[in-house]
Amino acid sequence: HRLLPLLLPLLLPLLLPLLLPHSVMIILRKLSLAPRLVGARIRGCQKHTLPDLPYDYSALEPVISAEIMQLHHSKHHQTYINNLNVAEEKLAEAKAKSDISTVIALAPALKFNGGGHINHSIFWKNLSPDGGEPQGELLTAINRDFGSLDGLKSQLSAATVAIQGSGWGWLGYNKQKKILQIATCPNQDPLEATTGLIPLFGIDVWEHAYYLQYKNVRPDYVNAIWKVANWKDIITRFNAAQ
Amino acid sequence: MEGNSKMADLKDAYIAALEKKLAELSGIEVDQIKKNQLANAADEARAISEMAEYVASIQVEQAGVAQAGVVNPQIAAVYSHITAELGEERGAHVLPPMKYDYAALEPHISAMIMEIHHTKHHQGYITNLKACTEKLKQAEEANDVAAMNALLPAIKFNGGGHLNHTIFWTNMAPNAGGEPSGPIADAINKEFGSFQDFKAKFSAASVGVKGSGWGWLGYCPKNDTVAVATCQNQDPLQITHGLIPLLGLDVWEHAYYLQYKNLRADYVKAFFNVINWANVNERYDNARKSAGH
Repeated sequence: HRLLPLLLPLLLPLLLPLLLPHSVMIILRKLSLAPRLVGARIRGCQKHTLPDLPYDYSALEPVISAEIMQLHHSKHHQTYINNLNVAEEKLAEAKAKSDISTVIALAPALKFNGGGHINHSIFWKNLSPDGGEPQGELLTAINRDFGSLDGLKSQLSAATVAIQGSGWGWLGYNKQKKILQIATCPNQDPLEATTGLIPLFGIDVWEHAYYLQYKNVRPDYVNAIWKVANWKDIITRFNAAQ
Repeated sequence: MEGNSKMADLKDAYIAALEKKLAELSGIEVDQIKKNQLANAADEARAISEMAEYVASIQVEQAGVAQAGVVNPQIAAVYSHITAELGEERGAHVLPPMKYDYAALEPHISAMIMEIHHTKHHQGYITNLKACTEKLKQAEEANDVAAMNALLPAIKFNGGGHLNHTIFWTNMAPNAGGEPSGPIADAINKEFGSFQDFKAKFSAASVGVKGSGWGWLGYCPKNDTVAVATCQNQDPLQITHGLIPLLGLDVWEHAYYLQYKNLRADYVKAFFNVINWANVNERYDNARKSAGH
């Protein structure tokens, strides 16, 4: 026990990774307190994590209820992330073994869960309690490609309401033609990977996105969501896509 | 052997890519010819030749513009299955009444879900199906094959929705559930080994549906067996997989979200408390008879 105070500083770096739970390790890493201690554990697996919401769960009320936001973020999005991590781990194993058959078999899971992660990450930023209005070059493009802001709203809303089953309605940017375009994707198919359009604004119309509040009346939800559209974020994406 | 299946997969992928391109350019939806999915070889041969006739009838008037000369055979199929189930003639579609109260399936499925599901969702499919049927009639009168074919997705979606939910309400009952008895129990044991094995397989398939869709126990007329299958959206089982529907489980979020939220697996588990096995036996019996067994 006299040796312990001497040995502890030497042993601690070795023991710490084994003693601390994973989440504490991440906090330590973020605080840069013990980067070398936790690095070895985490570096080996670059796992996806749930991005924080830029606002409280209740911030988008009355357009989207707090209950929906909490379930949507902490359950649905989290599940896509968990399943994406699992799929990517299996992918790494299959690649290491040159098991091409398994690599191909994992494609649907990667698309579904990877798409779910991508889409929802965009969605949280696309919404805001005070998202402003479209302006500048984006507004010019909207007027050019849809006649007016109301034209965009009614066209995107109609396309989104009409989606059969689960999916997303998108305002996207076509880099080749340099125009704005509306598109819809089924399930969690990611817009850019499947159509080449750069995602600017997405509307999730999986029933989990609105059912607790709007029940079967999808049009009411889609019409209302424009009130919380984060035009500042949409403008940022539009500018980045130029 | 493995080479053959890889080749078949490659060919399937190639055909799918061609059809997708054709659909994009022409707006015509061409369903991939269902190899080995239609249960009956004679049905499959007939379906293949119908689809081949349909594809052959497509004329390219100018680059990128195609016109089908023949009506997609799936349109007639949707209506004929609805007539077989409900006795309704094309266009005369109404909401079938529930044989039990909305609250009768509690605590497994809440009264609020049952009421909204029946009076809003199912009714919605019927309303839209009638609208499609009206447009179909107008297109028929004008001999406009392109307009008729353009209605296929909506007919399949709303017609499928009407058909699927009609079957669903009869598949459930109060004071039901548990393990089946009678012919369907024998068929399940033969095909899956045991009821528990069937339950596990059916549940996994239903939970695993990506997005909106249905889990099914269906009857295969060719092999005189039962099988588990899933469909996306409202795709009707018989048209999609050639199986006759016996027991369906709606896993669209509207079927469970108000009560189970994101926990689809809990809803699927609860469903086994309300399965009306007498109805499943009746459907199985009718299906076998119509297949000549």
